[in-house]
Amino acid sequence: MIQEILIFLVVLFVAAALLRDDFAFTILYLFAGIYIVGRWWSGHAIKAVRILRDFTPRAFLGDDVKVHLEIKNIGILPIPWLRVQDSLPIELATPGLFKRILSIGSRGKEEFEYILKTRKRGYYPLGPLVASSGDLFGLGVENRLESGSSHLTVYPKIYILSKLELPSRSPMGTLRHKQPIFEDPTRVLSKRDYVAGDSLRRVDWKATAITGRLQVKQFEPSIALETAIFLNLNPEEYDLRARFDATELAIIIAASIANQVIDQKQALGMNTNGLDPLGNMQRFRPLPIRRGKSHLMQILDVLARIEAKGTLPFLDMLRQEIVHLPWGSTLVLITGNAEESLFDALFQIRRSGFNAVVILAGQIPRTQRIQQRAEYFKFPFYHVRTEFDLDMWRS
Amino acid sequence: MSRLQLKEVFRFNEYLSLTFSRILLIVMMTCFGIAMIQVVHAFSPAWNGSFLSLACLVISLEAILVQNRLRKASDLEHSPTFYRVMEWVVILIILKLILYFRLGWGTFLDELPNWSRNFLGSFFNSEYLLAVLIMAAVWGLTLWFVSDLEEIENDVTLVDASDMGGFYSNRSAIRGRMANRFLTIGFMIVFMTALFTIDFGALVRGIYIFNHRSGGLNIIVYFLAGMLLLSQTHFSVLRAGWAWERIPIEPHIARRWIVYSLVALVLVTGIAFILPTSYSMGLLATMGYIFSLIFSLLSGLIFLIFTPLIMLLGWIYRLFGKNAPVASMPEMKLPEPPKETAGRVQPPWLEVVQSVLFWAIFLGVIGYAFYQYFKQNKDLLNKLKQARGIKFLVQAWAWIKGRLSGFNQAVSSVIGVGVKRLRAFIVRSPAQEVWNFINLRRLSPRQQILFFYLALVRRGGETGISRKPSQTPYEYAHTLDRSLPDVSESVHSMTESFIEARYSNHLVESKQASQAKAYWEHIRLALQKLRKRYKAK
Repeated sequence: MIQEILIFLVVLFVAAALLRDDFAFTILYLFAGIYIVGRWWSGHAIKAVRILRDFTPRAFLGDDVKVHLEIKNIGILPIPWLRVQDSLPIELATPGLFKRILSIGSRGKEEFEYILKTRKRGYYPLGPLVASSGDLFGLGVENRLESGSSHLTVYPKIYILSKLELPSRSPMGTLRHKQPIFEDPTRVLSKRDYVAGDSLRRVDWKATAITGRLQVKQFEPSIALETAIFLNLNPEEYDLRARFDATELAIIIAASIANQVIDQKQALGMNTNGLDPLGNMQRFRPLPIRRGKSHLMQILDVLARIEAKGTLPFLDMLRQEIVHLPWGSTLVLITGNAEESLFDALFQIRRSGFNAVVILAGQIPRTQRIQQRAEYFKFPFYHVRTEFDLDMWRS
Repeated sequence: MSRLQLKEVFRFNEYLSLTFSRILLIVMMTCFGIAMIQVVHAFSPAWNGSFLSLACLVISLEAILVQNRLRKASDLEHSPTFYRVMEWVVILIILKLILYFRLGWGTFLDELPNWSRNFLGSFFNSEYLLAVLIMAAVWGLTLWFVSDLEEIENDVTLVDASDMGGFYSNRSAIRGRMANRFLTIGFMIVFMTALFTIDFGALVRGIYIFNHRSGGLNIIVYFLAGMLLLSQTHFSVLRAGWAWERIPIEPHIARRWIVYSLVALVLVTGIAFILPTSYSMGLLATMGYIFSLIFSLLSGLIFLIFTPLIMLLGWIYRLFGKNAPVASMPEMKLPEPPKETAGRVQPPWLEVVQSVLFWAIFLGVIGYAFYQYFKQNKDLLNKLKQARGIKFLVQAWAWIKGRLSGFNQAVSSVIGVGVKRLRAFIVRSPAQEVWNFINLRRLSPRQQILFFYLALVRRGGETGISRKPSQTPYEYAHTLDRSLPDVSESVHSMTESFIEARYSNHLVESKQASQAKAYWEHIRLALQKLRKRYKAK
């Protein structure tokens, strides 16, 4: 178009010069003016566009996330047309684009809302939002403006595993235990009459004074469950046919156990050889053993965005991280396979004062042999083939 | 937005845009018709066809309406060609009636007996034929444009078509075609109307005389309407893409498009009418005047720069008992503006301004065109740079550019140094500046904390607890602690606040600044007490 106009203007100019017709300059000014005004207008107008994307950055699986978009023109110049295109993850929205054509007046604003369906756990980028605009006469080029992208974390599915019981050797915790060896002097269970052999330290002098008979305190045994989850996300160590489903299941198991342990006000840590898309696809840094809801959210954040693309062998990770754990901790190993070498290592670990629970995730051939090995070493062993198998820990 | 709603919005926008486009087309064609009438009138001054102006508008409107009716071929009883023939018979009759109405019914009665003898010769006389030709041109062009406009409509089909394979829209090509036609017609109008400003009588005698152009408003309106039509076709091209992608659009976008394009055009037209269109002074004369003006200003500037040096020389001369050289300001004689070549009654300065503006715009447009051309054809530019004569010119330009940039740097550094010295002379001492000009309310919370801490250091120094240059803030806090044990907590808190404000990157809140102020008040009172105690001793 611009070429045609240029040719026209040149020919017009030559003709006007030959015929000494000044009038051609007015036409020339008109075209030049339209071109300049058009370019200037669209160039300036797009600079005055401000885009704001507002949404809850974290969601649980199945939640509907409302994304609120506000497109503002802070300038005086109106924007005749503005094409807005927000890129959305295909896992959460179909089609994966939000598009609108707007016309915003001077200092005006437009607001939109769209909903993302959280169908799969993950760490999803929203955007970048691209806004483009141009002049009214189609003589200039389109101007583009790109706003940054934000991220939405969708947590993995969490099951409430109220029947889950993990072994522990740490005394003086908050969890009841059957073995009197873990009696907690801060948790008085009852009182009884003194019998020979009872320690004088157990005598409850106030109760003795009231009853007139020697009374001794009976303590409730309790343990502290310091748990460390070891999640294997090295795809090579999962069966090829069920690799994707099994790793996802392993993540769900880890999230559910983490939720249960923290819910019992116990401390939990997490180690995995999965990769972090946020950290340039490096291995996740182990999360130390801590308690509290904020720590759980941290663990869930990790489990939400983790990718099963690890290359570090599970056993190597176990050997690297075990040295940082406190004595008596319980290790929950969630993996896709358990070789002889793993049981050998676990045996050594147990001798160092740790407990271990082995959970196999996904469809695995030759499970019986693994189970026999676990029974031989007396390790608690569970095989979770599908999510339904988690019912064994649910009330 | 459902597909039905989407279609509705597209339909509404399209309707508005096409209606406006058709109105613009009628305006354009009327202006074209008027221009044709002017041309014929210039060729044959005896013929007066001003009455046809309104007829042009009517025939353009009629062409659009009939075309709209004929689109639905299924509703027609006969073929479209039949209707066209009938349409033209009616047009010819009405045109003839208009002519008779203008000339008087006596003419009709005079001509009537001749019809039976020589119908074609008497009915289609020269005046009538000219009118018919103009009408036919307007009618034909209107139809041509309208058929193109029809091709760029039907957004609703495009909304559905994105599901179908092999469907495409060539609106862009149609737009290009329409633009070419609009420009060609526009050029023809300008050229022909300009051609008839030549005095052909004088030309026969071998003398070129150009008469002053009269009118021209219709041509301007033609171009304005054409540009608006281009704007609407651009909107149509964009709409096709949006419909194809099924992007929801706003219902009022077409209305705003019309309003904004009208505003832009009004603005541009206003500027275009203000800008000069004559070049009565000539390029060289204008350039010469500008250069002489710059030279006069430069010589005055050089004199001002060298005056202190000449004065110094004069002083040295006088030391040796000789007469000092006399420095006098060169006469700032402004060159006379070049004389006009055409007789115009305007103040000379306005003529100069207009000519300067004109040539600046003219050369700017040419320069920009060349710049854009060579930007597109970089290979050609590189080849040209290698050509022998041009290579020398390029090298010469590079040399001049290098020298100029060196000179520019030198001048800027000299000016920069001068300005710095001047500022140093004018600006007060830093101490005065700090204590006289700081407005606490205008300072950021971080600056406020720094201010309070510096005040503490200054007052501490005045009280005799001065901070050694080697002391860190913590060390100084310990020194203060020993002398002011009562406000030890405030001193430490103040130091912490200062360190945070001085070395942290995070945001310092106003709450922290007000806390620092409170600490400072405690310390200040303690320092005052201490001073009084020292004085009493």
